[in-house]
Amino acid sequence: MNLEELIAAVLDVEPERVTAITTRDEIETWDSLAQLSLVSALEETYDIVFTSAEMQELVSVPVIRTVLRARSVDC
Amino acid sequence: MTATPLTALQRRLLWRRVSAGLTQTNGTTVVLSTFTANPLEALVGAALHTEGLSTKMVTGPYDQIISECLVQGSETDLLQPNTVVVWPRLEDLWRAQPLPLVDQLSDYSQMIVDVAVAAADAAERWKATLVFVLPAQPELRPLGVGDAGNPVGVIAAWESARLDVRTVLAGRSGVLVADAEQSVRCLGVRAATDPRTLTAARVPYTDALFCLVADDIARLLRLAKFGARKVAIVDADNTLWGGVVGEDGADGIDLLDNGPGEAFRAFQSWLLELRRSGTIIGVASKNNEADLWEAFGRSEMVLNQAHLAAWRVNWSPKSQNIAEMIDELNLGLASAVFIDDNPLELSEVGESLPEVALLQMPIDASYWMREIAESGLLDRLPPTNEDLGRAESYSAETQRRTVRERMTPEEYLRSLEIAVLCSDPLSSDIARLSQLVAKTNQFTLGGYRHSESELRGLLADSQVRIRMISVIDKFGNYGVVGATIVRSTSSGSLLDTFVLSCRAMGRGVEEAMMADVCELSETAVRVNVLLTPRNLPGRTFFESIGAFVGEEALLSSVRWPVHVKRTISE
Repeated sequence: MNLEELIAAVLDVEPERVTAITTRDEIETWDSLAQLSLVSALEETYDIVFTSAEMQELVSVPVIRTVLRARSVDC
Repeated sequence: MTATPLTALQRRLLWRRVSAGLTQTNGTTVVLSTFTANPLEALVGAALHTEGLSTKMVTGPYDQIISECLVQGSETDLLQPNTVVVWPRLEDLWRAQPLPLVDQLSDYSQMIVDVAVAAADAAERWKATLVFVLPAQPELRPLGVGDAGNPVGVIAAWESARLDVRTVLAGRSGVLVADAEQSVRCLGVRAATDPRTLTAARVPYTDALFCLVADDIARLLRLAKFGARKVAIVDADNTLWGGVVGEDGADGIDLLDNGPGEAFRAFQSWLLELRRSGTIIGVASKNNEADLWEAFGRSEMVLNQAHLAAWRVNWSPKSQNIAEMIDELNLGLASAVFIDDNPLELSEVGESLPEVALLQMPIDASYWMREIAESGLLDRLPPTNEDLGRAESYSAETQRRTVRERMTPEEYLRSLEIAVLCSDPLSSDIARLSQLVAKTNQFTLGGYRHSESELRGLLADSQVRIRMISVIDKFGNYGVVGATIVRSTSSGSLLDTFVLSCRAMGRGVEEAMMADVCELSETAVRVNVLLTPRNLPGRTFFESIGAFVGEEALLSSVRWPVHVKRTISE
């Protein structure tokens, strides 16, 4: 599963709805509880731990990718 | 044999597939807690599915255990659940008090005892099974390392509260008790708790912890529904002792101290403990029978022939031997657990007798207890009241009576000493209001959400009245929890927005907000409630005051609830 597929799976939407530039506003299921599941799934999948500040910033695929790459995650 | 446990994400995806196919006939499990327990929902759902007990899952409103249990017509009451999971945290119940330091321990256990009794009473009314999760040890301990020695400190109060809860719940039928502390121990505090999600969303625990607690909940419900397994059938070579008696001879097998032999003897002692609690022990071994009994004759053996209810010592397939023994004992195959070190024997039995549960003795016998405990295959519930001759505990009855006397729904609400302040926001309040409007999903009209800049525009509009709602009760200050927006139009007042944080639901705050709206409006207020997937609490409230989905209501006389104090602005 690539990053977009993982995000789509957690948010329970069709994989094609999540692209490299998708943001939280575009996905109706991306609410605050889904945000927690997403953070938890990203941490579990990539074996990393976000800071509290990062957890709140992860509201779009580009930002998620930037934060993950800053942690040397290949995604 | 234990498979690799699924990750939290795998469980969530599994649950999504499974839950789509569930209907009312599968029954409903409601989770109630003092913290945000929504992440637990899918994990319990998946764990129950794995145990063959799929039900629909619902997370009840945040921090409303007692009112959900006591108030007729509460969200949970309306669902008439088959199973209720109740999980309070002591930190949350103790919010109104300083942490235990010098006061009596009973000051710190009464609240959780009230929660437990209210939950058990409600479960009885709903004919539901209650799974009460005993709280884990609070992490905040002002004395730090010194708390351990304080007989009225945090740990002492936690221990005494748990004991009191166990005592009031013991012997009540339909009540199961799980233990969050057990799971925290298993993971360690750092892997079990997450301070980030606690501050961000009042989720105190990690998915890893929720997975373990979910598994325990499912195991308990499986035990309650299908009963404990009654027979343990064990292999002999490399299971009861180290080595193979047919090759090493009775003198050569390992039952010695200070080494693997000691682990095998510990396993035998544990089989005797099982036997004491009612489990039947059998042996299935591929050996010459004479060799086997010679090994049993070793003085270090803990188990002896008299402890065995059945045995088969021959060269036939083990599945055949097990089936014969189960038949001889007049039991069902599903009541048996087969323990062997040899994966080939286990899979032979598994293929022929799929109902029999399988447990592999680890290659390093020292780990036998961990394997068994983690498998849960030989777990049992405590003896029931029926078993003990209905010796209902006097203290439990007394506690229950007190709570009934003390806690009618009205009295409960009154005891909260809620005060609501409805005020006109300043422009500095708009950021908070906009956050509320954006984040509130459950208690809304379901209509359009204004953005922050739109709210600033509305604040300046003389035809619009925005109200900001702050709440305080004896447990503390909730802060700004709600907002209403009313527009004056040529056809009278229109309720444009109504949002209330779930933290403050179900305590009369919503009535107070609508009373405020009605009082400020010169005409009756037009209310349109829309249906969204998440706004059931909002819809339920508006229905109760006469505003139904899909038809415009005119409201003019919502009363300020008597138990809610009115705090006057400025």
